[in-house]
Amino acid sequence: MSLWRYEARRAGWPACLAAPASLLAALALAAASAGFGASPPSVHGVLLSGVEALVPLAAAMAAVTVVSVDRCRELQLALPAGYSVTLGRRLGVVAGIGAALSVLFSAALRLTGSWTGPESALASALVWASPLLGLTGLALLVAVLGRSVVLATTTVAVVWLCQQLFASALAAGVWSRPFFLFMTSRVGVADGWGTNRAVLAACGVLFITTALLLLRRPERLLTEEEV
Amino acid sequence: MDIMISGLRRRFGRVEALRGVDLEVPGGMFGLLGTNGAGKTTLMRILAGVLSPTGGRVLVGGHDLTTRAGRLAVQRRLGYLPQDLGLYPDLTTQEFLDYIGLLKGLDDDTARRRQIGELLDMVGLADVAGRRLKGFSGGMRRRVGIAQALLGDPALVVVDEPTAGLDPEERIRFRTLLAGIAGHRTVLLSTHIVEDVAQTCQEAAVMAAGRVVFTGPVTGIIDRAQGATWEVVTQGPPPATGVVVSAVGRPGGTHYRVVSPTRPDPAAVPVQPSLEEGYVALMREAVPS
Repeated sequence: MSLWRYEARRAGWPACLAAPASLLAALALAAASAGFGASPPSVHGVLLSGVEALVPLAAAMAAVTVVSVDRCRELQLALPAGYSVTLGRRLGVVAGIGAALSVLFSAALRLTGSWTGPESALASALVWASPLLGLTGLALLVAVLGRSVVLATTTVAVVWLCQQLFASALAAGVWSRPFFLFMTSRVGVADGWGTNRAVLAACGVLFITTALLLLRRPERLLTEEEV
Repeated sequence: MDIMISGLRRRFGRVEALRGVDLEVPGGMFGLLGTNGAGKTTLMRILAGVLSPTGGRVLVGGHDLTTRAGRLAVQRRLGYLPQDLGLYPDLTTQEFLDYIGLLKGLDDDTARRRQIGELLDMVGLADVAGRRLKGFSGGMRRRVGIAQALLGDPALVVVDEPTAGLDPEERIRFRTLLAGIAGHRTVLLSTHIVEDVAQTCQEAAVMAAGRVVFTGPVTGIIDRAQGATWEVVTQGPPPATGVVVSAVGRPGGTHYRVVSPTRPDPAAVPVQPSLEEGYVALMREAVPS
């Protein structure tokens, strides 16, 4: 247990607070839109975007920080614990906080009648879990391959923003639809929703597995200056 | 824990950092000398399992470091103090050592904390055990570094440039600490500071341009400058030939100590060489300018 406490501290407060902050931002946006006279369905859409769009973005950015920043990296690489396992624990802490808050937030939305996502518990979890896996996996893979915080965060930001800006086109395209991150909040639980969630989750698992396999080669974690 | 290295090579893109290193390290304290860029840190990192070799073989205690299983087996018995030891500034000394102890697999809380207490006493940091690492001086950071390296009672301790940047008092203190931990262990000390090796090691190797150019007793390095070390006292410019190792200004003139295969000045007198002069002579042979 104490090792997990240390790893939570190593992940850092900003990474741990990113998910709660993003949900608070969603609440603030929803309150503001209600204040400006937006219709209840629009306000509910903003709240749903909190778990489907903002929490995954926060988790992905936090994952980049966790993988890219460590003052004791060289020492960690020489320890028998295995640095990829250590990073896995830190990522687990960040993802766990995001997941726990998303479950609670979704439950709160249900209780207040603001939930516009699917009814079943498993499907509800896929509203946030699939984009979280997909975006976090992409962030990790780029961070490990590029060994650059700037490259990884920029990639995540560009993908996220492009999907927001071209949501209609991406949701309409046969080939782009399975990879569209915001299907629930932008389109709803329509035809192809299940496929979309499954493809995003599978891509995320594939990216994360590849990143963790690459991390087993210690050199991947040392920057050019460190080498 | 014996170390046997043969034909070790490591390349970074177009740069070949290690060009076929052959070296045998017996137990006890062993010095690795070399200029900056000689390949010492790359060799240390390979021995610590941080980098993989491009070619060649490294056996540590019989474990092959070119395999994953071998690296893991060595890391279980290794204490490593890297050249740039970053510490986690938000942790206290006690917490940092506790965390590293957990990562080293010291799962018994009582035994781990007892060992941390003993190590803090040994490195003279017991009174700052509860202080955050943020704001520690260079010397204190290195002492935290050696304490973490000794957690789990490793059979092999690898320390890379541990005294660089320390003031003379801290350097002496750290050297004494290192010499004290050798005992039943193999301690590999990599440094470009000749004095560190002179004061702590009986056996040493010298690296230049990615190769080992000398292995043997430290006195063997001194021997390289026998008959090639001179003292010149002059009020004029330093001798034009040879390498001036030291220059001391005195009332009668400046006393120059020069390493040169031939008499550098008609007034030069041969003198007994020091380790530093032996090292200079060796480097001149290995890397002619």
